[in-house]
Amino acid sequence: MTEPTHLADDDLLRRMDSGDEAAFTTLYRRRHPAVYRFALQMSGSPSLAEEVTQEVFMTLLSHRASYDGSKGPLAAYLYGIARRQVWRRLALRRRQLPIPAPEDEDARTPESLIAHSQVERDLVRDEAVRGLRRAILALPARYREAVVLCDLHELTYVDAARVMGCAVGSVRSRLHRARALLSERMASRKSSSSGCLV
Amino acid sequence: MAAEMAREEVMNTAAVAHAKTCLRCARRLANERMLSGIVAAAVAEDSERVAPPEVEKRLIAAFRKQLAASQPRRRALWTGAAVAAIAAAVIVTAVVSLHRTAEPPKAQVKPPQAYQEPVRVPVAVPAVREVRKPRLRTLRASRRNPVGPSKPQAMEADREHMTEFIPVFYDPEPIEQGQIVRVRLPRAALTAFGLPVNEEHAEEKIRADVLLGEDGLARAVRFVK
Ligand SMILES: [Zn+2]
Repeated sequence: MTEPTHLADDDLLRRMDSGDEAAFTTLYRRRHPAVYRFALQMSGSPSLAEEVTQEVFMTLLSHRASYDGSKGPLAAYLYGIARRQVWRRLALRRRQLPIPAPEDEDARTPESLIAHSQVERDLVRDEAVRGLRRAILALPARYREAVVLCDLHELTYVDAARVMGCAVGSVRSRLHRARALLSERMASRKSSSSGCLV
Repeated sequence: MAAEMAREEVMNTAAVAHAKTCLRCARRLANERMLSGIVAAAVAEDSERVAPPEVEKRLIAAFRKQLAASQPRRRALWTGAAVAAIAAAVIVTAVVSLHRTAEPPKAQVKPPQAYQEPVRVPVAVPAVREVRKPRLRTLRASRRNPVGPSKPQAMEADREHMTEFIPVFYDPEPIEQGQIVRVRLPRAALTAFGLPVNEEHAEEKIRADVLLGEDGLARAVRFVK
């Protein structure tokens, strides 16, 4: 059996409604990575991301009628469910999880070791990416959400506003503030590991 | 969207121009550029992340379970002949797909989210009429004492000359609210319900009304003569 990968989401949903398992599998494989990544980037927790992903698609199965294609694309609907699931779980875990450490001493890469081979450059970049992830996780959740949706998922402001349930202007201002905080943190991280170069 | 991008463009150009004369902002701008480089690296790294395969397995299991729960139990009175099985399959598929697409599942709690209206998928349904409460109590009752159809149906039934409703399977639960769905079946299906078939016309299609319970299962069928 070949997967109906050429079909649009709404066609796959219709097939799913008439019991077509391949259609459901195709839809899941197409749409779940964004859901999984969103949850992972918001929480830093693979187990939470896994739970959320499962919950989102369970909701699609059991509350199928709650998706109305005329009100927006399936992707936005899935982000919407994922977002509520993430927020709920983060609220539950808040007391249990320590706020991620802003800097991991051992993981610092002194600037002096930069990076003549590709491998070394990759290591530096990987370290920068790890630093970014920590900085994102340390942001207030509303700012974090704006960065994750607009920068990591490359949603437009309009789409992000739809998912976040706020005005486009709020997305823009949160994102602006979030980027400012991040670049501050990334810059201080950089200078603290290399000494001030300016 | 074009306006949004134009606005961004203006803001960026202004920022770059201003940064030429302001050291603080020049640093900020450099930091932002560094940030977007790292963001791009993070996006590339994440593009390979997917949920573990167990999630897909669990979801497919859930899909199958839900499908099985929505499919009719085969408690047929007429399981004998092969043709009965074929007729059942025809009825059941027609009925299940019509029921599913025509009406979203009822007993469900709406999740608190933006999209709440049920999806209505238009389907080419021949004739679907509502059967309201007091008319069909149980199939046993309806068989012994067939209940007359409602007014508009009575007129149509008179014109069409129907058999009585014949139970597909016995169900002790009274039907609170059902639906009648018009389908076309092979004439041979008549034998499955103990009706005579002219062998010469066995291949031809015959029109039939299938009575569905609230669960979407076929309860009874009547044929148009
Ligand atoms: Zn300035």
